[in-house]
Amino acid sequence: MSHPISRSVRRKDAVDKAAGKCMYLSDLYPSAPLYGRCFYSSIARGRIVSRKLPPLPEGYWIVGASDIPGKNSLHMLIEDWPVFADTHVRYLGQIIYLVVGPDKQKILEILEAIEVEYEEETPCYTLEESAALVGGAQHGEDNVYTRYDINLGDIVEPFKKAARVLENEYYTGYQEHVYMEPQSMYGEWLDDSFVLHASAQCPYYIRKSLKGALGMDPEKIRVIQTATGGAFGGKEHFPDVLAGPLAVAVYKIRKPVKIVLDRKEDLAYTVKRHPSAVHFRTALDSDGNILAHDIDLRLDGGAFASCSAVVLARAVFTIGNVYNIPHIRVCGRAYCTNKPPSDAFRGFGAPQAVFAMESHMNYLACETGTDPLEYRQPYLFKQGDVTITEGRVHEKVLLPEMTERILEMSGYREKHEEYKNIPGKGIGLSYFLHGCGFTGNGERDLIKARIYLKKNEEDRVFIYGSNVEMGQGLMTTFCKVASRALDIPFDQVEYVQPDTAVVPDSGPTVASRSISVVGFLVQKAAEKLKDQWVSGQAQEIIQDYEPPEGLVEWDQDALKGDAYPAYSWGINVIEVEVDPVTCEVDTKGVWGVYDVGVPIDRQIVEGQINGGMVQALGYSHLEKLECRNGRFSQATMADYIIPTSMDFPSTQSDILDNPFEYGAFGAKGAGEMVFDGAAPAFTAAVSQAVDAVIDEIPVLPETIMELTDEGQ
Amino acid sequence: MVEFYYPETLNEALELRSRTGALPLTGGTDLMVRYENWSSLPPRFPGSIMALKQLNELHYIREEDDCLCIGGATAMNRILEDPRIPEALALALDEIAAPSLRNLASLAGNIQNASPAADSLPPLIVMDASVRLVSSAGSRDLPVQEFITAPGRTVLQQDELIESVRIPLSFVRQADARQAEKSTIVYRKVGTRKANALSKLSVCFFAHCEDGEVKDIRMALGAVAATVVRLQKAEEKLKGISCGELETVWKSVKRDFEKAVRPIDDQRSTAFYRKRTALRLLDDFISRLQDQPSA
Amino acid sequence: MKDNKIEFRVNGETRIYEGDPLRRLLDVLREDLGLTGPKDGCGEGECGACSILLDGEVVNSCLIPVGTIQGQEVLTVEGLNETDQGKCIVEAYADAGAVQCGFCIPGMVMATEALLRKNPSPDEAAVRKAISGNLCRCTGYDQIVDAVLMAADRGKGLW
Ligand code: FES
Ligand code: FES
Repeated sequence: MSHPISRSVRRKDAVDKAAGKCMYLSDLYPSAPLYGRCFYSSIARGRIVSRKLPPLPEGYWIVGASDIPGKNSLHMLIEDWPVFADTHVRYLGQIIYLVVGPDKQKILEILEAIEVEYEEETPCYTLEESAALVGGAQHGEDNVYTRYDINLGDIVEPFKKAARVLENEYYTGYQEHVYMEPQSMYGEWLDDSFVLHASAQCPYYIRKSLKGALGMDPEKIRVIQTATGGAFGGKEHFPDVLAGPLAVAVYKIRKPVKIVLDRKEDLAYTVKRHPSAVHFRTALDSDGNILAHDIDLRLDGGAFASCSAVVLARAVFTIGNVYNIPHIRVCGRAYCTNKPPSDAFRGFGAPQAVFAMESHMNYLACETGTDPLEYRQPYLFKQGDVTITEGRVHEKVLLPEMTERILEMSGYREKHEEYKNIPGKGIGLSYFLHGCGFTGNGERDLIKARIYLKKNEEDRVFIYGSNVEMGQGLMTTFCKVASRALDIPFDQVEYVQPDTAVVPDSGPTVASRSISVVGFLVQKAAEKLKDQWVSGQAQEIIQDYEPPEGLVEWDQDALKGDAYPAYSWGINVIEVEVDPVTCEVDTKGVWGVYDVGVPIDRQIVEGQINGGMVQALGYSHLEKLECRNGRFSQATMADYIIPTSMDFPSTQSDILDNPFEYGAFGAKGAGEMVFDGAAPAFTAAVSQAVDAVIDEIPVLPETIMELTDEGQ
Repeated sequence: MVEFYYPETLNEALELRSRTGALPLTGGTDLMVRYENWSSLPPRFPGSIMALKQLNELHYIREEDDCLCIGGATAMNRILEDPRIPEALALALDEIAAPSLRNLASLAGNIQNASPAADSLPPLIVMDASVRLVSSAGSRDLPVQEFITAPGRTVLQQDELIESVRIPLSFVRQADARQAEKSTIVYRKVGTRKANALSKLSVCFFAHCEDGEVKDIRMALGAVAATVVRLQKAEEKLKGISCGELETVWKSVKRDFEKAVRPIDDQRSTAFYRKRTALRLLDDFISRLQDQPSA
Repeated sequence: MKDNKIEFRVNGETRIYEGDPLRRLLDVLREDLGLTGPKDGCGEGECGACSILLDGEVVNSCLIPVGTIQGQEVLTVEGLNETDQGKCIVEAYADAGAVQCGFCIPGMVMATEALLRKNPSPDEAAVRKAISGNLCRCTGYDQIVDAVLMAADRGKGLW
C-alpha cells in the first residue's frame, strides 16, 4: 500500500516552463548594461612573470587581483582558491582577469590584446604524478587535500589466515554536468550592497564565499536565486568561482554586470566529477567467503580543494556499500593535480565507490566460480547491522523484497543463465545505497538549518528556506508536505524564491538532504501552524533543525558513529547486446527497484529515477572526457556525448515504501541514489556479453574492441 | 568588412560570386558553427557571405541527362522525403544530426564542407555521383571524389557554386528493388551515439552478383583517412571473379586496404578502433556476399 | 531584402529588422523582440533548446543568420502557446511529469508540434526520433515521450 501523499500532482512550475514563460537568468536580462568575460590561464602550472594590458577605451575595465577589496580567496571548505590568479596559476582555465564593458565585440578585442607571460612549471596530471610531487608539492607537503582512514574490525588476522587473496583496481573517469542552462549570473550594486542574481544551488554558500573577498558584512551581500536550468552539483560551488570576479567588478564599477558562459567555456573551464582509482585486496577463506577488504581509494581533486574533502568522505563511507563485512580497512585520499578542480556531482563520491565495490563483487564471484547474485546474498545488510563507521543500519532493510521484485520484473535469473551460451548478450545487476543528508554531524554542527512558515491574512501559506528548485521538484514536494500536514489545498501553499535577504539559511541544495532533512522541518512547522491556526490572521513559525534521536554519536576525529541517519536503497538490472562487428552496445532493458522511504510524489520520484538512470548510463558508456596536457579534448557538445532520446530504452521501475521516522512523511533522499547503481550493472552486462573483465568506465566500443579483438 | 549578399536569382548569385568571392551559405549549419562567436555577435566569418537558400532554381529533384539531380539548396529532409532517392543515400541522410538540423542543411553544403567524416560522401562516392559546378562563364561536372581534395578543401573556384548533385540513374536502377536479390547495398554509420551523432566512421558498400559472378563491387569508407576512401584497386581485383572465390580473393587484396586506410586518434575515437572496425565491416560484407543464395 | 531591411513574420506579426543580417535569429528573437522562450543551450546546433518553427519546419534558431529568413514565418513557443495545439502540448507535458528544470522544454514543445503536424498519431519510436535533436539532461526522456503520446491522444483532430 502506498502512502496517499505519493499520489502525483501537477508540478507548480510545469506549465510556465513548458510554455516558455519561466524566466531564467538570461531571460530576465537578455541584454545588460555591461557584460563580463573572463581571461583564463592558458597553461596548467606556472608563475606569472609579466602582464601587458592594452589601453582601455572609456567605459571598459580589466578587473583583476589588484582590484580585490578584501582577501584574494574564495571561502569554500578552505580558502585556497583565489578569486583571481595573481602570482601563480594552477590549472589551464584559471581566471586571471574579468574584462567588463558595454560592447561584446570590444571586450573580445581587449581580451585578445591582453598578454600574460608565464614561467612554466612541471604540472601534475595524474594521481601518480601528484603523489610523486612532480614539480614540487602544491598542497601541504604531500599534495593530499584530505586523507580519511577507516579501520573496521581488524584486517590483519583475516589476511593472515586467508586461503586466497584477490586484488583488482577500478577506475572511473571525469563527467561534465551539462546542465542545459550554462552558468549564468548578474550582479549589481544597490543601497550599499552587492546583489547577485544567480543560477545556483546554494545562495548562502555564495554569500559566505564572497564575504572575505569583498571584506563586507554578510548582510550587505544579497544572493537571489533565479530559476535554475539544471545543476546536478555543478552549481554548488562553481557559482562561487564566477561570483568572485563578478563581485569585485561590481564593487569597483558600481554598475550591473552580466556573466553567462558560452557552452564551450562552460565545458572547458567549469568543475567536473572526480575521477577515481580504487584498489581492492580481499581475503577469502577456502570456500570463497569474504573475510576482509583492504581498500585504497584515490580521487583526483584537480587544482583546488573545493569540496573534495566531503566528496572523499562520502566515497569512503559508501565503499562498503550494502554489505556487512566485519573487517575493512580503507585509506582514502583526494589529490591535488593541475587540472580544473573536481567538485560536486550527483552522487558525490558514491557512484565511484559503488562502481568499485560492485565490480569487485562481480570479480570475486567470477574468480570463485559463484553466481554473482548468489555470491552477494549472505552479506546483504539487515536492520541493526554495523556500518563501515561502526554506526548502525537503523531502518528495516527491504533488500530481500526488492531483490525478488527486480528479478521478477527483469527476468534476470533466466536471462543470466541463458546468455552464458549466447555470445554478445549480457545482463548485469547492482546493489547500492545512499546516505541521506550531510555526513556525520554536519547537519547539527555546520548547517543548522532553519525555515520559516508564514501565513498571511488570506490564509495563504508561504515556505521560506534557502533550498532551490533546480528541476528536482522541490517547490512542489515542499508545498505538498506543508499542505498535507496543514490539511489545506495544495494551491494554498507557495514556496518563496530563495533570496538571502528574505529567507533563512536552511542549508545548501545538496547531499540528498532537501526532502529528508529540510522537508521534515517543513512538516514539523506545518504541524505547529496547524495547532495554532487562526483564520484571517498573519502567523509565523520558525523551525530549527533538531537531530534525530537514537543515533550512534558521530566522532569526526575517529570517523566513527552514524555517518548518516538513514539510507536510500536501490537495485538495478541492465541488459545489453554487443554488436559483434563494431562492438557498439545496444542497451535492451533497464530496471530499477528503490526504497526512498516514502515518495512524496510518485511522478517526481520517477522523474528522478529515469533522469538519474540515463545520466548514469551516459557516465557508464558515452561520456568520455579526457584531459590532455591540462585541457579537455572534448571541447564541444558535438564531442562530449550525453544521451539523446534514442540511446537508452525506457526505465522500468518500482518503489517500495519504507517510511523513515525523521523524513517528511517518511521520505528519504532520492535524487542522488538513483544515479549510483547503473555503472556497475552496465559493465557487468557488457562483461557477460563479451566475456571479459571490465574494470573501468566509461566502457566505449573502443575499449571493448581492445579487450576482445584477437587480430591486433 | 563582412558583407552580406542576398541574391534573388542564380545569375545574380553567380555575378556576385565572381565579383566578390563571397562565401556561399545555404543551410548555414556548418559555417555558423565553424565561425561561432559570443552570443548576439555575428559569427566571425572570414569574408563576405552570400545566402543561397532563397534561390528557387536550386530547390529541385528531377531526372535529367541520365542522372537523378538534386538542386544545390535542397534541404536534406526534402531529399529524404523523395521516393526516388537511392536507399544508401537516404540511410545516410537520415542519420545526419537531427531533424531540425536536416531542415536547414543541404546535401551540397555537406559536400562542400569536405569533412572526411561527412556521412553523405561514402554513398555518393559509391554511386559515382558528381557535382555540377556553375559560374558566370559556364558549368562543369566533376565526380564527388575528385571534387574533394583534402579535409575542408575542394576544387571549387572563387567564382563557382555547386548547382546540383547528380547521381547516375544507371546506378539507381541497378540498386533498385527489382534487382534486389542480385544487388546488395550496405550503409553503416558508427557514430558517437545512436542519434544526433558525428561519425567515428561510416561506410557504404555495394555489390552486384549475377550468374554466380561478381559483376560490380564498390567500397567507400569515411573518416578513416584525410578524405573518403574508395577501394578502387581492391574493387578491380574482385570484379569478374566467381562469388564462391570472393572470400579467398578478398584475403589477398586486403593489403590495398591497409594502404588506403590510415585513420587517426582524435576526440571521437581511436585509430585502432577505426581501422579494425572498417576491416571487420568489410569482412562481414564479403562473407555475406559469399553466403548469398544467388551467389 | 530591400535597403538592408529584412521583413519576416513572427508569431503572426510582421517584423522589420534593420540590424546586422548575420546575427543569429535566436539573438534577434531574444534580445530585440523579447521572445525568450527559445533558449541558448549551446549555440552550435547540438542541443535543440533554441528550436522554433520556420515556415512550419522545426529548425535550430542558433544556426540561422537573420538575413536569410526574408519573407518567412517564424513560430516560437510564445506563439504556439496561443493555439489549441500549443495548449494541448503544454498541458500534456505538465500532466505527464515531463518538466524538470525546464530549460530544454520549450524546444521540446516545438519539436513535438512539428512531429504532430506531420504524424498526428506517432508511436514511441517515432517520438524518440523526432526529439532526438533536443537534449534533456534531467528527465531521461521517458516522461517526455509519455507527454508527446498523451498530447497526440488528447488532441485527436487538432493536427
Ligand atoms: S542553442 Fe541552438 S541547438 Fe543548442
Ligand atoms: S528538463 Fe532540464 S534539461 Fe530537460
